[in-house]
Amino acid sequence: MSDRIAVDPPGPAATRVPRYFWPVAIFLALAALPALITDPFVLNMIMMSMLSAAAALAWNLSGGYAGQLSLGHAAFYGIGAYASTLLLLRAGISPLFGMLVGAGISALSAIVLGMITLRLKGSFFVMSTLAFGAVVHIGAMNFRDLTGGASGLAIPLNPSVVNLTFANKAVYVFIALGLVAAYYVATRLIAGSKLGYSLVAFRENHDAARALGIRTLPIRIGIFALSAGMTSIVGSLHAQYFLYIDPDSVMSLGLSLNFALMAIVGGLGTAYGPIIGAAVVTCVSLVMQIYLGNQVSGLTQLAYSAIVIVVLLSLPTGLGPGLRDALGRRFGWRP
Amino acid sequence: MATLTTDGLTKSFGGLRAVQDVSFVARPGRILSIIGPNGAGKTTVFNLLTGFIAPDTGSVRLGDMNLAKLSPEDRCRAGLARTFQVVQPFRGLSVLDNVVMGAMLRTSSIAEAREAAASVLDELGMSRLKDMRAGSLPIGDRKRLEMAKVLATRPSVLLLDEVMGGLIPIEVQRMISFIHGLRDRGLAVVVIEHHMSAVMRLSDEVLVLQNGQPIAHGSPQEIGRDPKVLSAYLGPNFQVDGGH
Amino acid sequence: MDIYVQLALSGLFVGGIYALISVGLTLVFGVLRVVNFAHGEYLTLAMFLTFFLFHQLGLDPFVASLIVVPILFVLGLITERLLIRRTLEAPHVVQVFVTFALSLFLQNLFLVLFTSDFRTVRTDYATAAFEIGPFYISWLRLIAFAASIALTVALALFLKHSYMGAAIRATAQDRRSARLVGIDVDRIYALTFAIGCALVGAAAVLLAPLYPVNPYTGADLILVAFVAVVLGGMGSIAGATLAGLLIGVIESFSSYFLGGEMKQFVYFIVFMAILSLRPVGFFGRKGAEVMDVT
Ligand SMILES: Nc1ncnc2c1ncn2[C@@H]1O[C@H](COP(=O)(O)OP(=O)(O)O)[C@@H](O)[C@H]1O
Ligand SMILES: [Mg+2]
Repeated sequence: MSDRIAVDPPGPAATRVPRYFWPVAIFLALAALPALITDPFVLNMIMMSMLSAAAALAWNLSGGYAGQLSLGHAAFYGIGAYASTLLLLRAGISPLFGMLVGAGISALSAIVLGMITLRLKGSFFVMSTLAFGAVVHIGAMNFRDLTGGASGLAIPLNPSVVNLTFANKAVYVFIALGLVAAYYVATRLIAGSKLGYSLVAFRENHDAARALGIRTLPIRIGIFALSAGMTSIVGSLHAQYFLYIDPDSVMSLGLSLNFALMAIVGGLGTAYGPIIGAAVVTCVSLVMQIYLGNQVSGLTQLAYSAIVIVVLLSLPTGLGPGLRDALGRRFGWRP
Repeated sequence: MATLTTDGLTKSFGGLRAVQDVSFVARPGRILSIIGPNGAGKTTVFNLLTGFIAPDTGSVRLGDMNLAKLSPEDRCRAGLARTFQVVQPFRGLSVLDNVVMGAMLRTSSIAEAREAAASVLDELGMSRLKDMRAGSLPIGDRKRLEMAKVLATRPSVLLLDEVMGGLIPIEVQRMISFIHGLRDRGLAVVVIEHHMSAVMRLSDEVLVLQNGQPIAHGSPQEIGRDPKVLSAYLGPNFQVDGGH
Repeated sequence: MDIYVQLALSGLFVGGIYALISVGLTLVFGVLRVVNFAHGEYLTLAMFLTFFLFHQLGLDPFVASLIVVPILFVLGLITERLLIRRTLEAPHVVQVFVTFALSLFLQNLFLVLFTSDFRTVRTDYATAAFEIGPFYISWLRLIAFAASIALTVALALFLKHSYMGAAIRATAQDRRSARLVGIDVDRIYALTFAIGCALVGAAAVLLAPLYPVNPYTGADLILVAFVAVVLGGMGSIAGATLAGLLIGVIESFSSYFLGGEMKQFVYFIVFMAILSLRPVGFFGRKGAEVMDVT
């Protein structure tokens, strides 16, 4: 497909420290954050960035490694949010279980959608996922009896582990951090496996992959479903954190675009790219908010989209690989 | 090791008869060359054999197995592998990873696939290139990479589409020895080649196509003497180069 | 019975404008092989232009078109030069997300400049209508429809009979051969993209008296255009026109029988159905959209 998309460097990393030293160190440092930071605005920012990072990691498995550029992933996020919330509200089922049900529904929808649309080339696939996202969004808006329509659903504040509800917002940050770590590890494992290699083979050159005996369609549907399920779990966590969902906040096109853009800005098809993307986007919006204030809502997005265009045109592999190369040259470290 | 048999292969693109009634047998331990002018239909024959294009009529068998219903990937799994004339590297990946993609067919462990890939690269004298990006290789090395990827799938029948294009004479000689080595290992090899002296030195058997039709089939010596071939394909002034 | 005819008529009229939006999109795809996800924002932009020309200078939308359409044409040239051209040889992800980010950029630019308020071009003749038998026909809609169809036909004639049109068609067929026969392909790309923008500019002028505009108007309407373009067959102007008309009618019927919000639901279902059953659409070139997979 292209010669400009980065791939995780193959082989044992040329390092003096153990392979997982830095990721673990960074993870631990981040884990200290919720304890140290008490400002609710910043804490909320961190939480948002964790949710985005997790969703971007999930998107990246299918979008980055397999090059399946979905713009309908918010539908899976929303399915997760609505599934766990409705099960909790209507049947008193714990969101811990509800998020798995949501993930299952999302994965199944992805399989059906994938069987129809993963045969389509590039832009056709993108458009079909757009349509899927729109259908689910409109559906959530209109099946009011089930979803509450545009007025959304509120989750009562009954703090308990079973309810996955906590009075202290910092707890959510820990959970989200754990999710990001788990998704990161999952990505590393997949990227280093035959599955990951086969997906990259498909992305880089479909005919060449076929000529080497790689059966691509089943694994592409599989990774799409996995990515959908993982996105869905993040959506459930989103619902529990905000204790309120509506179609615009959990299944808008803007959300889908965001997952994709974070992975792309950070470094498509790398395990750390989505995390870097989420961090950078969060920092940028923090800075923007400080300097431009909150009143002009469009300005942050305006600057963000301009940055995206510049990054795409000047650094199509994303910021992450650029940073990695610099670090590699400086410290001999290849994350 | 299996025998590839094809019978009455025919394919038209719109009004153009690209391949007409081509039949041959590629046996283990033998090298069959397909030659013919540009546009004769040689590459199309490979596309038909490997399932990238469906034939209008004609059959392809590998050993006792009818391949008609198999996809290209399943034909490769069955042991029928091909290179592309227009090389198809995974451009963004390292040379080693390109070959790993082939080696994965025979193992589910990436570590083992990497070892297998490294040894294929070694055989082809490409070890020092293994960390280079495939997209940045010069054409000669890309041709060899194309071959390395395919060999890593451990095929029993190997289809090579102009793998010597862009090679300098000494590399051509090395490639010929290498292909002879594959034959001696018992592979059935089908080669499309433009380089006439190479064909003469390389082949056990030669099939000549013109406008999609087979016009001659025989030993290199017979083909070299065949006036039909000489005038139709090689031109009146052609002389067979014994090859040095 | 009458109600069906009335629904079909009003659907057709709106469909004419959909067709005009879709034709620009499909033309750009056919020639540049790029889906311009920011196409809708050019529509929004042109509607805002029409609105301000109307409000500040008192220009009637039909007069304003003489200004709006050329401006859009020039903006198209500029966009192609600054952005689109750089993506043509780039990885697919760059192509998709550059135009998507452009769409986001423009939306937010409008938001910052004009807020999210709806603005309406209120002409005196907006409600003028006549009756034929039992049918009630709005002059404005009829004219918008007629103008849309006329423009589409004009484009088709231009492509068919002019030298430039032939060069555009040749480039769409095969850019490498076009270059070989001496066509300045880069210029064709710029021209085509600019024509696409000019067409959407014309659609905006026709829409402005009928639809209120805010920064998201184009984004909403463009989804219809995507459906039409795929339904018609990517790159096919006749296909996009027919599909645009058809979607107008589908929309008109489904909003009458199912309610306004469900209409989108219906045509997205139609969209998914086409993609799964006949991804080449009505007139699409086979091979452009489906890969061989097993
Ligand atoms: N997929 C295709 N569609 C249409 N025509 C094709 C296709 N593949 C090959 N051809 C035509 O078939 C003829 C034979 O081509 P090819 O097999 O590539 O020849 P060779 O490899 O002998 O040079 C050529 O005229 C070529 O243009
Ligand atoms: Mg050939």
